[in-house]
Amino acid sequence: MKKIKLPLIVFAVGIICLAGSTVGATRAVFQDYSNQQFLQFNTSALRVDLQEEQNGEFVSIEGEDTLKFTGIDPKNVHGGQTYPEKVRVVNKSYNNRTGEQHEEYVRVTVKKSWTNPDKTKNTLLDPDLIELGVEDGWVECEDQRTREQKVYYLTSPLAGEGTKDFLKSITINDKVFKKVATKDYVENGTKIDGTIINEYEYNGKAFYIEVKVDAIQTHHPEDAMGESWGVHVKVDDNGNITKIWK
Amino acid sequence: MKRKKHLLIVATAISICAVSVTPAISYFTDTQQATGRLVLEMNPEIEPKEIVENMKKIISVANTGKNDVFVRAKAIYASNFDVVMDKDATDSGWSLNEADGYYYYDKIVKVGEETPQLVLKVDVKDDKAVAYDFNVVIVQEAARVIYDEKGNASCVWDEKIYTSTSESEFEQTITEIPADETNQNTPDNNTQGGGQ
Repeated sequence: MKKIKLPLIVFAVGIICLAGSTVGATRAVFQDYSNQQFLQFNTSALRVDLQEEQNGEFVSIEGEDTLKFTGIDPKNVHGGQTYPEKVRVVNKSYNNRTGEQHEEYVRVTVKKSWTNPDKTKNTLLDPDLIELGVEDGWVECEDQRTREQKVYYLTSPLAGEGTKDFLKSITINDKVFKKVATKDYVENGTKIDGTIINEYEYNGKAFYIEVKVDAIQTHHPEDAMGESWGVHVKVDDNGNITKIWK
Repeated sequence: MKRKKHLLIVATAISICAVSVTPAISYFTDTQQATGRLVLEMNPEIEPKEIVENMKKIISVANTGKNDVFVRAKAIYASNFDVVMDKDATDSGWSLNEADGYYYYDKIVKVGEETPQLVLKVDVKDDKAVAYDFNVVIVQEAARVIYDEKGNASCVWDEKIYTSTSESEFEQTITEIPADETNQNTPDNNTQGGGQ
């Protein structure tokens, strides 16, 4: 009996510790209320909306192929020409009981690439030839930059119901139109000697753009962004982000 | 020894419990994503149109491709002839660059559009000629429109995207040459002279 007593005690202590870690203290407070009152649970909702100007009007966009680029005539894209492309973020945060609106920090991640006619990605073509004009007020975290991706942060919190323009233009670099491959002319499967044709490498290819907006609470921004976004930030006393790094 | 062993077990159990307790902290966040794509079509093409009428060559260029272009044309002809723009058609938007001999249309020819007519009049310098029919060759070229950062349009003719060459036959007026002038120099209807 003595031999197994101590191991049993040890085992019991271990079980108690394990149980203690999983039990959270939950307390419910019961209040007196009349028949006309109801106990309400109210939470604040942090919301952000991504919008694109389409045919003169800003519309909310979410999902595949919802970015329309209405400022560009797809049948007549000119190299080097800057086309209007307006994308903005809107703070839709609110408290559904008090109606109070909340500030939030936002960031936007943009990815650019070229795709083949079957919508598969073409990694041989250069994403840098798709040039996006970003409005002032956004700071890029260069630690997060890749060949296709850039991440921009709004350094000040966005006010409730506030809007901030993000994209203002799009330009297809003229180099796209100079990428010409000279090939032998083939007619009905037969190569015609002495005859060549020029084929534009980017003809029939599509530029593909992905825009993602993230919003986060303004309380404890360093911890929040570190845990949720995986970045380090320094915030001054006015709530402005002064430094961002990974 | 046994005591130490038991202490070790207890310590291990407590350590495991401590590590397994992770603080449950959630932050308020939201996210929204959208994508879009646009296909590029790059098939520049022009259709040259020419008619010959009473010693006049009437030329126009239609943009049948998928890109806006600038166009130019040039006439190539023998030295006994002169090809000049018809004076009645000088408001057409076409003008001659004497440095290279090309006629340039001054506006962008958009997809589906056609230029106004360029009317070229063929003059015979010396009509005391042997009766030959002669040809005037027209070369038509198109170059892609390029925009700079300020939206100004231009093109680079060294990167022209389309060249078309056509030949039209003219019938020359027959003039009788007097017998005592047959040994004098006769004009050359074959040596290429016009259009640099």
